[in-house]
Amino acid sequence: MRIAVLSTVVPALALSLALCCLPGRARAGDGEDSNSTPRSGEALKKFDWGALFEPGDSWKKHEQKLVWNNETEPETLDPAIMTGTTEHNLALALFEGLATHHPETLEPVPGVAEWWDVSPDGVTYTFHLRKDAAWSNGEPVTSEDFRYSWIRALDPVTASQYAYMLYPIRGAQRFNTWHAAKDDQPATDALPAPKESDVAIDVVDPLTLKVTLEAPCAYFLELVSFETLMPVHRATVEKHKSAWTQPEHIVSNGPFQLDLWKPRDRIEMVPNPKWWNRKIVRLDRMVIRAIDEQSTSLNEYLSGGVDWIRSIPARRVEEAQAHPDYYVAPYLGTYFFRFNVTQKPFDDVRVRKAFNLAVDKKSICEKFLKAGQIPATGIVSPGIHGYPELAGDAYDPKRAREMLAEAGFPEGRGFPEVELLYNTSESHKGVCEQLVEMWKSNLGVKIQLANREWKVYLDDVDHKRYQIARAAWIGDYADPNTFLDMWVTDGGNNSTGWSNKKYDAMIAAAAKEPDPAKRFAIFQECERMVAIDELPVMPLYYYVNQGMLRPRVKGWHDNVRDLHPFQYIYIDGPAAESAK
Amino acid sequence: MGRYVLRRILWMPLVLFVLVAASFFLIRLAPGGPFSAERSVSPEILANMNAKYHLDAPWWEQFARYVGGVLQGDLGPSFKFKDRTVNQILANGIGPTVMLGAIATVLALAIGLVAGTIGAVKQNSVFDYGSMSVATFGMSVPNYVTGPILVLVFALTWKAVPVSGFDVSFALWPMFVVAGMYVLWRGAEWAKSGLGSVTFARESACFWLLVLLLASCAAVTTLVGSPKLILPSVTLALPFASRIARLMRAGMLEVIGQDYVRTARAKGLSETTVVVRHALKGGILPVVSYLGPAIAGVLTGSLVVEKIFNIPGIGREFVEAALSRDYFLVLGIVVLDGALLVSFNLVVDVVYGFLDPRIRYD
Amino acid sequence: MAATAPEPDDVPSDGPWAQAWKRLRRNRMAMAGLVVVLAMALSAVLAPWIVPFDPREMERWTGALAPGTRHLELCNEMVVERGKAPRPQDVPTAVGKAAVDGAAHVWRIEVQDEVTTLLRVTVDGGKIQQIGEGGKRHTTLEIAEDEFIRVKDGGAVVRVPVLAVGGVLPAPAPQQAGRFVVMVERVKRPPEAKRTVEIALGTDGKVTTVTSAGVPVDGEMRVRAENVRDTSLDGARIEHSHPLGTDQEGRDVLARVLFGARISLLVGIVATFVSLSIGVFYGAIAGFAGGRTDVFMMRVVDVLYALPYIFLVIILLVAFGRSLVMLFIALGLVQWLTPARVVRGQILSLKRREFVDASVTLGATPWTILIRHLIPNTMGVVVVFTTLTIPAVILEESFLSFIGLTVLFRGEPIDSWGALVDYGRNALGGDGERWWLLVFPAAAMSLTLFSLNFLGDGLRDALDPRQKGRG
Repeated sequence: MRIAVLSTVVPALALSLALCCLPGRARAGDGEDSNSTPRSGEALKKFDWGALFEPGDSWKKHEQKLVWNNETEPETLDPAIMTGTTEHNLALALFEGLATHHPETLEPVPGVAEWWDVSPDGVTYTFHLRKDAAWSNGEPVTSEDFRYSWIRALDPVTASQYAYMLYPIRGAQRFNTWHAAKDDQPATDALPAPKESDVAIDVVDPLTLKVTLEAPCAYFLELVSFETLMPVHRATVEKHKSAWTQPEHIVSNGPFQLDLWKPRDRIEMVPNPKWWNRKIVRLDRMVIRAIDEQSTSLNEYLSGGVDWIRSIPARRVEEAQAHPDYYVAPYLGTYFFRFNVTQKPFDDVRVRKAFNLAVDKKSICEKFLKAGQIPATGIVSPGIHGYPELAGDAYDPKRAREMLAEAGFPEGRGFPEVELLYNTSESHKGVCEQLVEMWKSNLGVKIQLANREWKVYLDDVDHKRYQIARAAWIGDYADPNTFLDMWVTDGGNNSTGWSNKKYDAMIAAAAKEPDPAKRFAIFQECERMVAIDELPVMPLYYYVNQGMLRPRVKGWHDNVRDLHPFQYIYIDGPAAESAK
Repeated sequence: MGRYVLRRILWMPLVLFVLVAASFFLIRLAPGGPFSAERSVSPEILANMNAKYHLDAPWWEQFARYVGGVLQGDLGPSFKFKDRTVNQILANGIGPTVMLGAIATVLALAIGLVAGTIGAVKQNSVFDYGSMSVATFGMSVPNYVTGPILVLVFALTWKAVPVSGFDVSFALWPMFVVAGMYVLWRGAEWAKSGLGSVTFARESACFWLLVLLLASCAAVTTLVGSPKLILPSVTLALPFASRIARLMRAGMLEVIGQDYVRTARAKGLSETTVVVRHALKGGILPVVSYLGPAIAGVLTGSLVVEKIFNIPGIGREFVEAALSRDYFLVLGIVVLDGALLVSFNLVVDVVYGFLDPRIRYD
Repeated sequence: MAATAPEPDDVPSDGPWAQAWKRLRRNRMAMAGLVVVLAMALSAVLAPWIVPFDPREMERWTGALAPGTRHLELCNEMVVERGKAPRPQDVPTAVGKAAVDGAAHVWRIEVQDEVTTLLRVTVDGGKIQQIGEGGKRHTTLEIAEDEFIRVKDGGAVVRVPVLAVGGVLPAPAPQQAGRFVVMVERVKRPPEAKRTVEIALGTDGKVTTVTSAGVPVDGEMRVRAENVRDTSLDGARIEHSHPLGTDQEGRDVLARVLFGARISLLVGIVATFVSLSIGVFYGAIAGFAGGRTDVFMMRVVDVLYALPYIFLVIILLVAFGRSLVMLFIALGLVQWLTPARVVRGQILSLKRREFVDASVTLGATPWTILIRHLIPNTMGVVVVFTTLTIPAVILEESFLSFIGLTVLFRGEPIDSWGALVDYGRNALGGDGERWWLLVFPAAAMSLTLFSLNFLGDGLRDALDPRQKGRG
């Protein structure tokens, strides 16, 4: 059943994930397109949960226990301060935001909010909460819970690293940063300290929450389903402080609740009986392992110990590919290299272009990485609805040499000693060695590799102590902005020293542009500037996410952010499968 | 003896202070901070985070605050695992590390002593050559090679044991009690009939051997009840068992050649009696003096084994904490392991003192 | 060597070193150890002459080849241009030699251009269940007329118009029961697919003419390695064999093990030298000075003994970077403690000997006595500790590789035995695939370690019979 369904849906995913509307479960014989979700309005109420629910009851024969490996120990289970995918998947099981993710497309679908309205100017969002939403202790989830949770995430005392996810809300940024900023300039900030009430989150009534933004934000609904904006239970948090996420204290509102947390070993979850949509949850128990050695993780899968692993060790990709349970799917992330444009020789755009043209990206993807990574000619990873992939310059060693000669280094003569900075990891090392080899044979320049341990590497990149540096960016939400706004002048993650007034202005214009088509056109222009004209960075490839999944795990869909709402997952098939 | 032990105990705080001070400043010299990330944090948010953990205070103040905290038993917060304090993380991790270390040490001692003694008594026999070859091999193959190979053979090919994880079950401990009582009863009976008058005072090797026998019963019962522990403990124990076997054999050979053992033999005592009553006590001394370094080795080995078998211990935690600049967690583990090591060395010295009458500590 | 310490149980007919050598020669295990260590050291030194491969040079990605595999030597991509010398990596060794000899040569290669796409076809119960291409999945896949498919790694050519989910994977694809995966290549051959390329090299080693299928090529010509079917030089195939196989980047394992030996042994020797120097001088000074100085210096040793040093080593490497110098300091910090204690003991007994009094009467300064007379007499200890410290250091370094702190040399992780073992461990498959990547480096390392240990034990017995059997 699942196979047939996948085969109709996945090609669309693969080609570009371009469908803005929901393709739905597209059961055999269904009229297509009847089930698309509106972005706002009362029509959301009609959202068909049944469509996400695969029919049949053959699953009832099998033990509904899912064991999977979450790669590493979560740093926290407090949604306000968590930062990684590891934690995000757990948060999706334990908590539910106003909106939540569609399991295939990751589009925002109604969560605790049954429906919402957006004002015509795109600035005011009114969320209407469902009456039956409840905490795991039976108390109702109210709009005040959300106001409290969002203010808490913004509170400097909470020190949330992802507090900026809430910055689109009017007054939020100032509330979060005022204390830190005032130390620098005590005199200039004459305004009084911001209060909670200065943040435009208004509780209209217990079931209605009104949020006003600074400016229209096309991806605000994506943010609403993000973990930082998930609700926390005030009484529990205030009573137990940082220990509130322990199994004996935690009160949550998601499809599952925490049953056991053995740090570094496993987390166990059981369905939350108070969740408003409890009837769709078929799993009885989830065991979430924290195996961080990828080799051990794959061995555990092969021996039958876990049902799903989320990564494959780089040295065993081909072995995994020969296994029928292997899967690979596009992932919202780009692997690229930064050039330090403040120093010779990379202050010259021709040198940067020469370096880009001299790299055979296809060969690195196919011969070295081997997992189906897509050679990147742009910086925005494919997989964003309606945003076309940028076709940048292709491999052209001849033109690369000409460019370098133009820049004053014919055949690489006189090219200064240059270092390529990367952080300790076998696969980065391999990729960098390939690049050095290509630059040597195509341009005649000799590049020295410089390996640094992770934190040292971050420090060096941050202080621009490099000439070329490996980098990667994983999208926070499916919008080009997440890949492009970092390149503005002195952007926190720019780190290349590149600055272009026109670019800054375009990014600012895109933020205010209400028309999605025009907005994407501006972003296209921006991306062209970064990845073709100016090249402060050299994109290498777009990520894929790969892993192993037992065929008996149903209701699971690979998607561009590797996020999996567990309420739809169930087991249909015998456990005693031979591992090989 | 008492004064010596007291002096050693008084030394401990000094050793630990040196350790804490050195680690505190060294780890802060490392480039990069606890909150740097690929997705770099804005200066304002970073300031919020630094303020939360008092990282914006001067070094001396942070150090004073830390030492003050340690004296009150508070090892500080973890920057990485924000829901738990260092105390909680150590409390969670110390169990598996100590459990594995203890089982491995007991196994290594039991196997090593038996193999070494038989090897020495039956010198140049097939058993001697066989066990010594295995021991030599075991000593020079590092456990990060044996670990993956054991996994490949026993967990992946034979599927006899799980690949990774940690779950201890004491469900079989009633069995251990039974087995232990049986061992005690048989041991006493055998000692009475076979060895003549044997004292089980602390000074006698027999006393310590009985302790070891009981500990082995406990270790084996635990392993049978918790299959996840079998591969890690064997991996961890192998190099030490080999080393101990070689030391024991050499020690016994030396003692067996000495006058008092020859005299005992000449009196017509049985071989077993000679070995257990006279030779063992002297022969075991090199093994006992090796136990101090062995414990340090077990701690190092636990870093390896915990990584390969995904054991939630503190060794693995340490490397990651150092790499992610989780300052207080690094310090906490250094303090804890330092204290463990120092105390265990003290215990070993005391046992050595009991066994070797020539040693006077004052 | 002018050692005057009398040995208790031997009549001093020879010097003590000669006696020690005699005793050592009687110890068969120690001699075997010595032979192995010398052989290993010798092959490490002679590595470049033993194996024709550069341990760092990646060949094309043939994947990890099993021990004994022979294959054509090919570069990743060949670039030739008239009037220029070919890049060294493009020239087979025989041609290179010819160029040096100043003879003109023609190098003939057979090229078959192909564009391949790798497909992952999952088959269940004889029917195609899934067709994957990288991150994409196809329900139906049309194979154009000028294309064909073949099973990866030398399967026969199959011409089918379409591959479809639910359909059957055409023979001669492997047919098994149950669910399995077949890696299939979809191949397109351009019209000029198969041709002979001739590269003529002049006496100056430069390319004089390049022809492709008889047509002269102007300017640069590139050939991708995977498209080369055959290289021949006057009819002779250029082939290489890898007795211990290759790693996943196509590097020869034997070369890597031997070059790894160079690094590991060198690291071992240098770190040992550093720590022994510190230990001997520290111990000698403490023992010679005596009194409070001695007590204080030995207390420091006691404190350092009690530290969980591996944690300090890790912190040091993290704080100051993983340079070789830092490794030597970190290991030196630890390994000098035992020699210091032993040397101090020896000096304590030596300094009461008559020859010391004699030197004092002759007006020697304390330093002269220490350096000229006392320290040379501790050389026996130094020799023993050298053989025991080297393996300890090699193990330590490989342990650091295991936990991800591989030492860097000029910004690059060193390819020591430890690094190779770690590579092999990560590459070891669930069915024991690629075992040679773990087994051979580990075997070389273990063999050397236990040989050194035997040699050390033997030396100790030989140099100081009273200590026989300890530790």
